[in-house]
Parts: sequence; structure tokens; C-alpha cells
Amino acid sequence: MPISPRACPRALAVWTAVLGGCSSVVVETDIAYDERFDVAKLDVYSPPPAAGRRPAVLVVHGGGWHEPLERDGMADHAQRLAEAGYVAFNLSYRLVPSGGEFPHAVQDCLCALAWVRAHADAYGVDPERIGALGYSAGGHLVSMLGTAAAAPVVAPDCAAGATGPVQAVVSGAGPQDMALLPQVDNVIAFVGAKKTDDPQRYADASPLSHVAPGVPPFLFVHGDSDWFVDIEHSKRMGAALDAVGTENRILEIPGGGHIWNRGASGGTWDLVTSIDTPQSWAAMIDFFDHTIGPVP
Amino acid sequence: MSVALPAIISAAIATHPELASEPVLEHAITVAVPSLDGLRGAQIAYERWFPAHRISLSASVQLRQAARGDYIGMRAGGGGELRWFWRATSFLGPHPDGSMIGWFLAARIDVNVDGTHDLISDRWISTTLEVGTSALIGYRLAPWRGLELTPYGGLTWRRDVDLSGRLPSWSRGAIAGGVTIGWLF
Repeated sequence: MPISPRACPRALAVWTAVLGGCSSVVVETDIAYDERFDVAKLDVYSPPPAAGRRPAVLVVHGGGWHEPLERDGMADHAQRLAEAGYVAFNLSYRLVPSGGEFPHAVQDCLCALAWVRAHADAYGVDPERIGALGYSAGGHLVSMLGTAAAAPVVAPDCAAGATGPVQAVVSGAGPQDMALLPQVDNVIAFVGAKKTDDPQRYADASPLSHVAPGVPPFLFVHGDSDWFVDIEHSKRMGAALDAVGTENRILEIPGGGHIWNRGASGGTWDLVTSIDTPQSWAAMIDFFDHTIGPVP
Repeated sequence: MSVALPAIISAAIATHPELASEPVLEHAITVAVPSLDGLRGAQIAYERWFPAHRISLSASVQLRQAARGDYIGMRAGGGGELRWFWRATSFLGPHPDGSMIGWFLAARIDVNVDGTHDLISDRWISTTLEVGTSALIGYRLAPWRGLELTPYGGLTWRRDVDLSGRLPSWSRGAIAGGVTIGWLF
């Protein structure tokens, strides 16, 4: 049977689409949100243009506030959020020991949020419908974006200036009460003091301390066998939010760890985080849809 | 300790010489220890040995509560695994050469359905089809009678397909490890 000359390029296009995953998301990388620091960059994951403005999600990586983990680890999450219709901003921030000590990492995240709001028109984003998703240290930082945006102790000094809180927070295994964390080097170096030497600094660095009426809704995703960040962090934060009348939910993963969770086979522990399970994704998207959604 | 353990095992074998002369055991029932973590589920497998080819085939089923709190998440699924035992022998235990013991390479596939229910709004928010494949290396110990312990590790890759269509499909690769405990018969 003769092959049409048009069939080859068509087949090639189909194969290219298969290899490329057929994604319609446009990714812009290495955009500076604070020119003062080389690390203060973000990647933008934009869904196809829509008729109306879109909600957006700031994606904040973890890694114990320390080098060397950066935003690459959350690229898949940003991509999937964008494919679900959200404009995703995957950001890096200063890390210990290169300037990320509290409150600088929090200030960087606030600067990124202010930058996103300032550039909302350019990306077709609704500046009043911005959520945040973070894991581990990133869960702590996005919780601070929800509760501490107006706190003088973390007031940013970048060109983008101060901004209000995000409108929804998804904290995956995020520390909420720094005093609950064990006194290991990572924590002491990030906070800048031992707990016994400066308890006020631990309070300042804790999202729990900044809970007040009017903070945005929270979703907590946490494994109940998390040895790094005990699930008690999320439960205490949930109780504090209950006390001020703020909507919050918790998805507990039975037997779930911080970086070891079950994959498709129930017979293995896989090196994946608690926000990677099908149940976590279902809850996260549903939460964003009803807090900052819908997507156009 | 490292000297004592083989000596103890050798002594145990010596006291049960009949085991070494027994026929090769061709069946196994195993439970995956990671599936028991949190006491919210289990994965149980039946394994059949084909000694002429030094391969085994197993079929497994799993059921697990995968989320709780303000949600209920359930997972149900099945899997299959092909193992090729390199030499089918182990220094550790009474079983004769040619048994399904020792080092092996394995290929595995799992298919699960994951459901998530929001308790606050009382509605199912997602049903996800999860397909996983794994390439594993492991070592089966059978130190006493039919008792088996099999640690293994390798690479896994999974694909999640949201059957409601709200979430795009995505894939995740990971390093994986686990161990089974079971009985050869």
C-alpha cells in the first residue's frame, strides 16, 4: 500500500507529542523576583490562555531550609497544577548557610508572592486568588505566607514590597510549631538560636504563633509515621485554626512517612513524599478548586 | 556475631538432615511487610516455582486504607511478579539447591484503584487508576523450615490516571525497597 507523503510528518508529529507528553503548558524559567539575590528566581508554568483570569499557586520546595535542594524537586508538581488549570510559580529562596536563616527565607517567599501579584496581568492571574503549596520546610514557609504576611518580624525589604496573605494554603508535612522540632543542627541553624536561649524567636518563626481571625483556609497532608516532622504539627495548627473559625482539613496517610511512602505496590516503601499519593492529589486539587478556583 | 550466626544455622541444619534431602518446595504464601505499616492494610501473594527454569510467578492482592482524617481513602488492587533466581541456592538455610531461594531479579506490575472521599462535604472527590511497574533485585532467605524472609529493592515507576478527568495523568519514578515474610510449602 502506498504511503501518503503527508503521513510521515503527521506520524512524526504524533510521535513527538507522545514523547513530549502532549503537554500544552508553557514553562518560563529563571525569572528573578528579587534582583539582589541570585537564588531568588522562579519558574512559571502557564496553562493555555483562557477567557478569564486564572487562579495561581505558589509552589515552595522543602529540604530543611538548607542547601542543596532547590525548586527542581517540585517541578512535577508545578507542571501538574498547570495542567489542571492553575498558573504555577515554582520558586527558590535563600537557604542556610547562604543567607536563608530566619526570617530571610520567609521574606523571600513573601517577595515572590508580591512579585506574582505585581505581574498578575502579564500572566493572566487573578491576584486575589492565589494559593500556596509546599512540602516539609516548604510547608512551613507556605503556612507563614498564610498567617504571617503582616507580621513585622518577617516584613520583606525587597523591591516588590509587602503584600497580603495567600488565599489558600496546602501544607505537606510542614513544621507549624518550631518548638516541637527536635533541637538538631538544621533547626538551630535556621532559627538562629537554641530553643532554650531564645524561645521568642522560635515563636516568631512558627506559623502557629501567627494564627488570627481571617487567616486563609488550610489543608494539611501528613503521614502519621512521619519521623522528621511529627503529625502533631498539623493537628495543633488545625486546632488553632478551629479556634479562630478558619476552615481547615487534614488528610492523614496511615503509615505514611516524610520521604518514604507506598507506591503502586503495597510491598515497597518508595522514596516519595506524602503529597505524591493519589489521595493527596485528589484532596489538594479539590481544596484549591473550592478555595481559589474554579479554573476558567 | 557474624561468625556465630552461620555456625548456629549450620547446627540447625545438622539437627534436621531430613530437610536437606526433601524435595524442592514449589509454593509460597507471603505477606509484604510495608503493606502492614500503620496496620491499615495488607498485600498477600501466592508464588509458584518452576525449578526447571529457575523462575517463579506470583500473584498478589492488596487492600489498604490510604487516607483518613477529614477524608477516607481506599486502595484495592492486584499485582503480578516474575522472578528469576540466579543460582537458586543460599548458604543460609536447610533447603536444597534448586529451591526458590537466594539472589533474584524481578519484574513486577501492579494495578490499583484508589478512591478518595471527603467526609466534610460527604462526597467522593476522585477515583484514580494507578499502574505501577518495578524492576527489583532481592535475596530470599529461608532460615528455618518453610519460613522465608525476602528483602528486595529497586526502581519503580507509576502512572496515575484520574478517572474523573479533573487531574491530568502523571508519572512518578522512585527508588523502592521492601521485605516479605512468608512460608514455603
